[in-house]
Amino acid sequence: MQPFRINMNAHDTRPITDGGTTRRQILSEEQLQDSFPDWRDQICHSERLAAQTADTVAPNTVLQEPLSSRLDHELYSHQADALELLANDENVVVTTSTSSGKTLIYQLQIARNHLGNPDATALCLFPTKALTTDQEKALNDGLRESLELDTTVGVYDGDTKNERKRRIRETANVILTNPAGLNVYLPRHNKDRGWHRFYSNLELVVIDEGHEYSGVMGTHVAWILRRLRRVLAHYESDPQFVMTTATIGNPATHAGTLTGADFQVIDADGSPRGSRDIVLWEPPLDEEPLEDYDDGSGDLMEGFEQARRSSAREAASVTAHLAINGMQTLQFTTARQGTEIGAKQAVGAARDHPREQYIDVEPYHAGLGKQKRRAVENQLKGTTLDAVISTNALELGIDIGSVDATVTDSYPGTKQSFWQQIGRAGRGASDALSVLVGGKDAMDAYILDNPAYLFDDETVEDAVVSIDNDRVFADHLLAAAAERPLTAADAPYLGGEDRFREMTAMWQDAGLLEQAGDLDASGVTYRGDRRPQSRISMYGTTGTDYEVLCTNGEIDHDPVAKERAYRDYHEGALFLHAGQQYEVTEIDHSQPHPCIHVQKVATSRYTQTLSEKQIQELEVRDHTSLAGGYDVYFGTGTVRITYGSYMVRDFQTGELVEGPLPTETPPLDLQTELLWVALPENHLAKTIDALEQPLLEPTSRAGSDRNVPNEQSRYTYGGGIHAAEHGIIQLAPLELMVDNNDIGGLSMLSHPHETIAGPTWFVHDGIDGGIGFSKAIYENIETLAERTAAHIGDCECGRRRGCPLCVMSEDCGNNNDPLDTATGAMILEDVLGAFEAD
Amino acid sequence: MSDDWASSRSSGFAVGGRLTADGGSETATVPTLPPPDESPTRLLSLSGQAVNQAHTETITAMIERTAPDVVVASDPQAEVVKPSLQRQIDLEILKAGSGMRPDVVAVGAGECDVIALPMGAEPLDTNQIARQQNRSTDQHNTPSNRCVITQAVSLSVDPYQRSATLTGVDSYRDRLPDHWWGEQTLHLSTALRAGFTTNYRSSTGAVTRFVGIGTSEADLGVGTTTQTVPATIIEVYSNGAIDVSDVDPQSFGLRGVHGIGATRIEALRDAGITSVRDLVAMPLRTLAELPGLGRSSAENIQTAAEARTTETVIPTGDDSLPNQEPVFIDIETDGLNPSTAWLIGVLDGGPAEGNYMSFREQAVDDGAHLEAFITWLTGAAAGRPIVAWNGYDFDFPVITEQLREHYPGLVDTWTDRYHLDVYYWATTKNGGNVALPGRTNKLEPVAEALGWEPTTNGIDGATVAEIYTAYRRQITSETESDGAVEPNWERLEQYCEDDVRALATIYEHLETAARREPATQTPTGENSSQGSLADFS
Repeated sequence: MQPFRINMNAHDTRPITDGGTTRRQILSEEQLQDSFPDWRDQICHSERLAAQTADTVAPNTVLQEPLSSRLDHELYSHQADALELLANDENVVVTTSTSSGKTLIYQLQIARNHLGNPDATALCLFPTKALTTDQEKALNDGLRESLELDTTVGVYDGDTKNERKRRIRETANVILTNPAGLNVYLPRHNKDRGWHRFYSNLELVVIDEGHEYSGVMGTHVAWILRRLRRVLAHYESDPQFVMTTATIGNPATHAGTLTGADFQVIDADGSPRGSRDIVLWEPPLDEEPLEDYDDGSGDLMEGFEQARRSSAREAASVTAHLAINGMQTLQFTTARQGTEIGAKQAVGAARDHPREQYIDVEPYHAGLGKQKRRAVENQLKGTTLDAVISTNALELGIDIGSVDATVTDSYPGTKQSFWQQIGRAGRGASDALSVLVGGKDAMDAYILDNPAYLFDDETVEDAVVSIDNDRVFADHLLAAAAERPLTAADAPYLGGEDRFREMTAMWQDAGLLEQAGDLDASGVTYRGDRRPQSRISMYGTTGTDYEVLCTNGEIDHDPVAKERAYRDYHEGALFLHAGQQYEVTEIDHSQPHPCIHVQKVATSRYTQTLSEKQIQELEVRDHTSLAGGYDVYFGTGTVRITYGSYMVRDFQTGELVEGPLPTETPPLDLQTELLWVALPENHLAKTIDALEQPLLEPTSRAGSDRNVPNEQSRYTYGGGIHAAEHGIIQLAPLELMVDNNDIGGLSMLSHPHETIAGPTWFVHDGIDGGIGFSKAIYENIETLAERTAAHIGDCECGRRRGCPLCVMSEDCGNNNDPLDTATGAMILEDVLGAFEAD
Repeated sequence: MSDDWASSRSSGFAVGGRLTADGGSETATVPTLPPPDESPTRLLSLSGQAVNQAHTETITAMIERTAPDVVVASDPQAEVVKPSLQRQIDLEILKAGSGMRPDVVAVGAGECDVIALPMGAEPLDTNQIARQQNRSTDQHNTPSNRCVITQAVSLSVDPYQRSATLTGVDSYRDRLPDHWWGEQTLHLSTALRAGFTTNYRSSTGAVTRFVGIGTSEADLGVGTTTQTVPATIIEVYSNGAIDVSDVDPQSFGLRGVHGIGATRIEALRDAGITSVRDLVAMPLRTLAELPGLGRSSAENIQTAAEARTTETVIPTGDDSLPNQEPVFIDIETDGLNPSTAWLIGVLDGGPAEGNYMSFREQAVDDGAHLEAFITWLTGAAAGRPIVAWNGYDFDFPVITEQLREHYPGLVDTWTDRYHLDVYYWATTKNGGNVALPGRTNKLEPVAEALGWEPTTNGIDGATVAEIYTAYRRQITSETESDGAVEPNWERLEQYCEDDVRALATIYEHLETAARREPATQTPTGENSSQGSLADFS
């Protein structure tokens, strides 16, 4: 992978130095030893990415006149390649780096279409409104000014005035909107001559930032695009697709799943880049708080918080060090830490720095007022600010010009976010410097131990999206019927023959589709309440969203899916949103409008929810049989989770303040997708026999938790299987773009299902109906097991019960008990052995 | 059809789904229309929630106006209906699933028994029912029709299994005597969505029809609004035809006056205004001083209330109507999101004397009637404006789409004509041009308030669409086409004719109103004593 590009003129060959001294000297060994407080060799890796010159092609090789002569610069090779494929009627997915000129590809395609047919239209979908507005300007500049074309471009979304909407429908060549907008505008296709004109002439659909559409959102977008294609088929339009995406491992598959069409991939990047230094910074690990945990006397979360604090403190020190050395720095912080606290820490760190100095630092996050945000953005463009501490709000699309350096506190979860953050430094001709301060979890630890993961082309995450969720499908089928009566010809767009017919029959039986209609005889009309589209929520799969209401002020919070409402928003729960802390005062589960009442609070506490889980009603969908009685299954089942109690902890120290307290939350049943690894019947005995280390002593809390075995051998083995389950879930994002907040697990010494003879562990989607996460893990289980086995074995903690850097998870409903890395590694090795022997 | 069906769900006799005990499928047949001129047994299904939310006067006004034979309490909060209303109204209030004995009401001269099942699972004692009705148990003395109401038969939808099933049927069945399983008994459930109808085939092959008259708790996805249906009118005919339509109790009271929402009604009530008549009688100056009201909104709501009480159209805006004589149209389709406009009804002339014409397709999916319609428009009706109710949203674009499909060359001829949606003109254009007198702004209530009377009964746009769809399915299906029975086209066309005449009636009043000066306040309190019933119209 060539992870980063600088948007500059292809002929720019200026040396990438800064007054003769490269900026990375500021982070040189001598400098740091000299001036970094309490220097403990934190830099564990540094990588220099060399500058690369552009690979360009003359415009007239792929573009006709007058476009080629109006374009006043060369094309990068990937732009030319994409245009050529488009000329050959292919759909194209472009995965080249940030700022490599992906927009120009579809801009030129729109231009070509326009020259061929002045009535030709294009639909461009962007994930955010902010991006839509940016792109409107870019497209207008490009098409109207540079290419001198008479095209009309219009943003059409919830902020567009009605009168302007009408004009856009009737006249625009290019409509820019977002998928949620398209979802509600689509039904107007036959009610309005403007839409009719637009759809009948549609030659190009652009899906920008396609990697954003994964998980729940991706499922909905995939169905919205299928509904679009089905309506277009009625108008005999068969547009081409251009999808742009961050670098992902499976671009053709991802684009195919989202749209149902076939794609060609453009990934050979021809754009130039400047040189860049990336430093991986490992905060010294303070093991003390974890040690007490081994004998059951200490509290794990205290360890977590103290460890986390150390990464935030380190990041603040690095930011201060860079700022003092005259480098304007943008620091990305974790959501929990909060940007305000981060800013204070950076100012404090500058004061404690040997070259004690006052630095100007501002926090930045989406919850700030618009004016405040504009002010910080402008200060960043100037030089009046030394540093900004930001959430990922500054990751995407917002123009702040460039900074000298970035500091990332904790790996942001995906390579794509990581490179996007890094890309904020050194835009333009100067060299750039970025520091990743490792956080305290398994992903960060893995990356610091295996820096090649970040810099290696071969390890790119797959985007994960699925259209298998039948509940989501059922809703979109009603929406489709309200757009046009369903007929047999729709099956290819709407789920395929069997699924389409069965779901149509279900809704006919339920009276929402005309019972007297017939797919094979003139079709089936919609009979439910008007505008079903308007009731589709992009945030969940169940149609039940919780509205978040603040009783003592305003809160701008997306609706919360049912699954998360049950887990994170019980009464008494504390959470941080857009820089402000809130407490849940009441959660009202009652239909039709469930809601979460919160109030603003000033507290130094946070809460952690504990849960119990049961899995039943398993149905096998796929099965991988391995040697020696090992089996991996994928299927569906019912997961019942009771988020029964919670702990209140101190924000800074992790110390337990109160708890466990009851949540009063009713059990949540998820009918969802899951995988299970079934081990041989005698595996427990065999493993314990072969275990060289002593058996673990059950903790005192294990005695009071009926789900944890209290007998030593079962406790130890249980710890092993639990460790394997945790490890795989935590490292899954290295391979797959999945949000492991939406993945759950359960490990058991036995389970009554017929496919499970011995011990087993489950990995399940935390979303009702599933969103493809556990399916993707199932398909990649061998690679993930390998990574996990190696990582558990190598963890520098060297502790039986593990640490947050290997198998401990703060989302564990069982308070990380039992865990045993020694047994866990043995179990994983056995599974891998079964794969190899197979 | 000229309006939305959200409030009009209906079903004919034998139509219905294919829910079966063994997963097999039941072929739906063409719905039956009620016998002409028969007056049906009329049930009002009313939720406790609706009773709690509306003013008692409003509920009694609704009952007075809709004139049911019997009231059925339904969820949510079914238990509050009887205690709240039994002293206010002179009707039996039935509730299924409570009490030790069945609630029984004989409607008409023993034409129809309505029976609500009591609590428990005990078989019904028919002798006891006969005794309750002072009848002998002799078969000859039994009613010709029977409606049994339960709250225990419900629908369960599971998208993961891709199936919808009826639950509670077996135990329900065990409670009824065998001879109640014929066609003379209608099975109604308050746990099924109002208007939902299904034919349930048991494992023995017997088919039973269930009709929903309440609120379902089934997972209906995005197909229903989450609001519960507060009240439903169920009309039952002797041949088994039924007609189910929603009513909004609020529309019978102050909340039914355009411009009065949840906030304003509070202010009005605090000022002692509880009826539309009170509102009209209130001096404008006093009204304008109430919290949340200014002079102009006070004027607006008072004008709207006056239109209601006087059953007239009152001008509020400056827009004019076209000078030429319009052509009134109304289309019949296969649903609200249709794929055909198989009937275009046209009225050439005024509501009474005008000449009605049907442009109806002669073979399924043959568009020739569209061409004939356009030919007439460009010939005999050249240059005249085309008028429809809610036409901008429905009739006009549907015809455009149909022409695109069948006669693309005629699209411009059609779209270039002057179209006028008088519903839009009246209620929306430049803030609205008139205050309408209907309880709702749907075509039929408005026209009825202005003196129009339908000539057809028990039929509405949804029924017509269903009949057409069932017929079309038979004709186009390979296996059924031989046995296909033509619908009674005349009845359907007559329904369409009713609607265009209703439209012309309204138009006549709009024209008169448009010639008057807008917003001339009639002196308040003078002519407001007339027509006590009209207060709630």
